[in-house]
Amino acid sequence: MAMTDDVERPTLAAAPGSPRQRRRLRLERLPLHVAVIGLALLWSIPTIALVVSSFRTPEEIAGSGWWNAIKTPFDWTFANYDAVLSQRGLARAFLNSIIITVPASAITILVAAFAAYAFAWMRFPGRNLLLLVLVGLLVVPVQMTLIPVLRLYVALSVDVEIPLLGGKLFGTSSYPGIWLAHGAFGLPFAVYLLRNFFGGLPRDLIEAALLDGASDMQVFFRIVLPLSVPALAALAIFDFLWTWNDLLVALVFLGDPNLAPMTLRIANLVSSFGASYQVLTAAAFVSMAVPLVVFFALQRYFVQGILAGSVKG
Amino acid sequence: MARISFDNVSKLYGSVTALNELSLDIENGEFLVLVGPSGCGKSTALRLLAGLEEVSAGRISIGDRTVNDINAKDRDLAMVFQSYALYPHMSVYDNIAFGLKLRKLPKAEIAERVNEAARILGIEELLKRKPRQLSGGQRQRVALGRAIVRQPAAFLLDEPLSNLDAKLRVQTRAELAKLHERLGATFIYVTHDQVEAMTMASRIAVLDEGVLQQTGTPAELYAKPRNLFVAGFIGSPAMNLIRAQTERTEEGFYLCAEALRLRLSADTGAALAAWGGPEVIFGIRPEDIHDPRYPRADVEPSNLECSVDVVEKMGSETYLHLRVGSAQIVARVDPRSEAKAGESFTAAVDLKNLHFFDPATEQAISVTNG
Repeated sequence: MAMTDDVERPTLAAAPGSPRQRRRLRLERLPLHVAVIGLALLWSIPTIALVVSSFRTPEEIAGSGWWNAIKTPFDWTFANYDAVLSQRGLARAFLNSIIITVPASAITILVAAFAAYAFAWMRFPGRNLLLLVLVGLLVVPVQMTLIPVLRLYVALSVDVEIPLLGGKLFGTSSYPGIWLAHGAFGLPFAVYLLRNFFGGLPRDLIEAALLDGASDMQVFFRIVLPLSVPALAALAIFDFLWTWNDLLVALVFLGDPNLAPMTLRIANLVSSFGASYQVLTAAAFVSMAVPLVVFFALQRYFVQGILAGSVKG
Repeated sequence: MARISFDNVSKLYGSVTALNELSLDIENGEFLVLVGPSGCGKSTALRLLAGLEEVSAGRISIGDRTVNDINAKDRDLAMVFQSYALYPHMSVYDNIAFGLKLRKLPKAEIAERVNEAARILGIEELLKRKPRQLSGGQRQRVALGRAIVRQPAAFLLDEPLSNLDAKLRVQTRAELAKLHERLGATFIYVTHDQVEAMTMASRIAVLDEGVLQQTGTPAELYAKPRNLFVAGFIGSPAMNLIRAQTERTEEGFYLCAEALRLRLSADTGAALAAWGGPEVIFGIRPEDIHDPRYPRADVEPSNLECSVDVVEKMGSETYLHLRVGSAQIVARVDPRSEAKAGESFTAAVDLKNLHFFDPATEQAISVTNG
């Protein structure tokens, strides 16, 4: 720790002194960079192919490989997107996906954060046992729980239509039902992740806040949450992706096709329009776009989260 | 402001006793230092008082209120942590104001108090910075500021200087003493460093293995350690402690251990004889062993033949590591002393300031020196 009045500067970006040294370093790292870029390209090829194909006509797709389209980029068509969004009901499915994913992720993160704080910083009898049981739930496959939960939902069904959103108030074919299902399935991992992060916060900070007169709730909202943004962002990305990409839970709990999310609708497209390759590519890309936006919006925090602790603070 | 008392307070972690029946009263406005080696229970005592740990047995009270079952946040105590524990996402101003904001004080009063604390601590120009932009010493001041603005019943300080470098530590020590005087508040300060305890405390409580060994002013502890542990712990360099036998001959009382043979005054000898057993542990502080060439006027020395192992010149004084038989003793002598390592040396021992301890109980044996 610096004892002078100088501000401590992060040393991460510190470049070695002379240009010669820098050139040498760059040369030494060249193979690494080539490998990383190569891998990234390789992994992106299917996605690029998908995007390019989604802008081509069925004849072109059938006639030549997707890479030919890159040669004549002005030849592209939006007909596939038009078809998908307007005619195949995918616009509603897109909306459904958002209606399902956003609240489900919010429930998971909020409940998990409260629970994680309690597990990390509050004293109550059976704390460790409870945490053990919760983490133990991580090994229970979702598939095993589907039928019992479904039967429970049927029994607890509340047949009241929700205005504007649509669907029932609770049970199968209801948004609250699937929010709860996704929330519950996501919780064990979310609690586990956040508890570890919260538990890693310095004990002194929590105790200083308590002595400053903060209640547990105030410690949670004013100290723990602001310091845990990286972990929360990481969890938000994970949980959003899982829920957005989920097919199984939606398939089981949402009988009503009007409530179906993108994944379910695209799966149906595959069976009914198996040959309409071009429609599927457009649908798939629409489905991919939102997670990409979420990832890029949060990736700043995400990267911070990975680096947290690597710089002396 | 209030009187704080520990009444037979114990703390157990499983089967480990961290603090054993501590009874201690801390007067209003006192600067009490809890001192002891690591694991002695001093931090536990502080954390129990703060409400960060639960008392296993006994009673802690602040004023006339028993606080055993009162939450940390409601005890009206402020604590400065060794790590400073500044909230990293808040500016210095918000760090200091945090406790006041939680108490929903008017904004103007918060600003006034924060600025006043910043002025006292000389950190006015740092209020907009984040903790990571501060040096160690500055962070330490902010942590103090956070405590000061609260105007708490007492300040608890848990080794607040141990993360500072040596020079800054000495400076901050003096500033803390000044701050205590200025605020007139009760300070309870935990440290393992007996120099900090001696320099700042109005009273010291020495702890070892969870048990309170002795309380008293620094001067009392230094002059009259109640047992072997306190004698060895307080003072730097530490008191020389040697196991010896008392011998009575026709000429008088002697203290003997291998090559060592010191003639005791008649009073001291008689007191030791009255106490009993021939075996004692006697202690002598390094400053009571002199170079006979530079004697002190008020000292009537008794000569002790020894050899010099190491000479440490500090400038203002010189430490001699001496060997008498198998016993090793340290003397703090005049800097002009010409003693050299490897040579023999006749030390002049001031027999007025000997300390005696029972080897079985390790308690001090009361003898009237002189």
